[in-house]
Amino acid sequence: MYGDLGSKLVLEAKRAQQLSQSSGSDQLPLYQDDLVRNILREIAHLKKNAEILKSQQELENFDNKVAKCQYFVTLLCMERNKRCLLAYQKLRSDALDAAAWNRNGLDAMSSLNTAKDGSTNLSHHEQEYLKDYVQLITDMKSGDYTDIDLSGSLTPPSDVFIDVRVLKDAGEIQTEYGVFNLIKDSQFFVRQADVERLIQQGYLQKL
Amino acid sequence: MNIDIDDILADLDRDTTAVDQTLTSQGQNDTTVFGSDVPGSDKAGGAAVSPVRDFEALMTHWRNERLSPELLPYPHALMARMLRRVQEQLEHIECISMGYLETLGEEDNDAAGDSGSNSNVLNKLPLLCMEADLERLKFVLRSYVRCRLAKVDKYSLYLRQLAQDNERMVPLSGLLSRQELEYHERHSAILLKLLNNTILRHMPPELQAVDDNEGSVKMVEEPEWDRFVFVYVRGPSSPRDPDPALEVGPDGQCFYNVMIQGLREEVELTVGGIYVMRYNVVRELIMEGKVELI
Repeated sequence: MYGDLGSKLVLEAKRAQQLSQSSGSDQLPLYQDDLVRNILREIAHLKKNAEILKSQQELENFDNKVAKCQYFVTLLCMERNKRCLLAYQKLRSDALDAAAWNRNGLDAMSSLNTAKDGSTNLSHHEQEYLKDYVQLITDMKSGDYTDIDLSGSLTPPSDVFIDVRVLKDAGEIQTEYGVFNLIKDSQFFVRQADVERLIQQGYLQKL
Repeated sequence: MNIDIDDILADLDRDTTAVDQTLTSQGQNDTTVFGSDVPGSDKAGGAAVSPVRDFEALMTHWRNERLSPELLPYPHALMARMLRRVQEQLEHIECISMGYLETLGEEDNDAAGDSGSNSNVLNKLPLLCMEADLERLKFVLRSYVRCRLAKVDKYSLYLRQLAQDNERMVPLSGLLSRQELEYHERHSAILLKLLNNTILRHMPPELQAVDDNEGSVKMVEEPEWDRFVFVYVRGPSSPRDPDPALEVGPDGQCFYNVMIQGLREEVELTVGGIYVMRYNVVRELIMEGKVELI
């Protein structure tokens, strides 16, 4: 039935949204290429129907109310399908935006691009979009806003120095207060600004 | 180790006053450089520029921006000053921690009458305070800019419509900063490219627009003008220049009159009071800085 595929796509989008909310990660499910393509096909089909209905009406001098209604509903179906498609794509692009901000640039790309089995969950165009957006954010961060570190943490800072625990081996880091050797499960008392990046990348955990 | 708490406090005092002096002198520079930049665009509008007042203005801007449904005008001069001060303070701290101000530190120690072993502690504590303060300021600025960027994304199409609308009072370049304009431009370009490539290109021509408001559902999302907001009535910025819109009641209380269009009802907003209102009712007063969102 017309419109069924659209609802399926919206449900899929809803599922993706809930998934990211509950798990808290930026993972996106597989891009529903087939579904999108089928809906586009359905729109083309509806379009053909609409044209036939229109020409029929012209023959009958526009007094057939049933045909008029049929024509109108066909148009509405097309519009609804379009909305479903756009909503689906916008949700995904928003998720990509969030990922690009939260994990710095290249990191986001590599983790989203390669799912566990080596294939990607993003469509070709989405990969391109993510690449462009990451570039845009990088450009924004350099410029006038270099000093305030735009992609930094959005929770208010409490202390200059914090306790961190190392979750993954990260080698040595050099700070103003000396060199730290980040070995898994060790604990340090460091300046927050120095290790912000490492916390975001998941090497360190704030205690 | 016999560090007297008084010594530390005295040192702190000296330090903060020193910072204040340098900042005040910067403030005077600012008036000459930026004073004539955009008259009346800041909350301080016309009043003398000082770091403290700038910081208060920034906090107000930050709160307003986070709570209002629409994108508020960008305080160009204020942000330029703030960003410059962050940079200067960063350099200042760098200088101290690298020990370029060694001589200053020694004088301090002599005055405090401490032995050499304490100098390290005495130098570090004010430094720590300054760093903590700077981190906080950086956080506010970051949060402010990110909040604005999020709104630019949300109202991307609406802003584009505004740009095409010539009858507007404020041009788009006044509403957004240069960076925000560029961000808006580039982000909507890549987003449109994505939508075009995946969906719109394969549609019949009459369905290809993304900013079509004719259909059954509007496609351009407008700010939610009648959202409820909490407001604090601040009154005129300085008591010396009286505000024509301000009225004085019989009991000596000052208030603003606002009209709620939907109800055809006039409401008095007493200065110092807190109200819950629809945003569009108090929008004008917020723009003029007489009312703050809280």
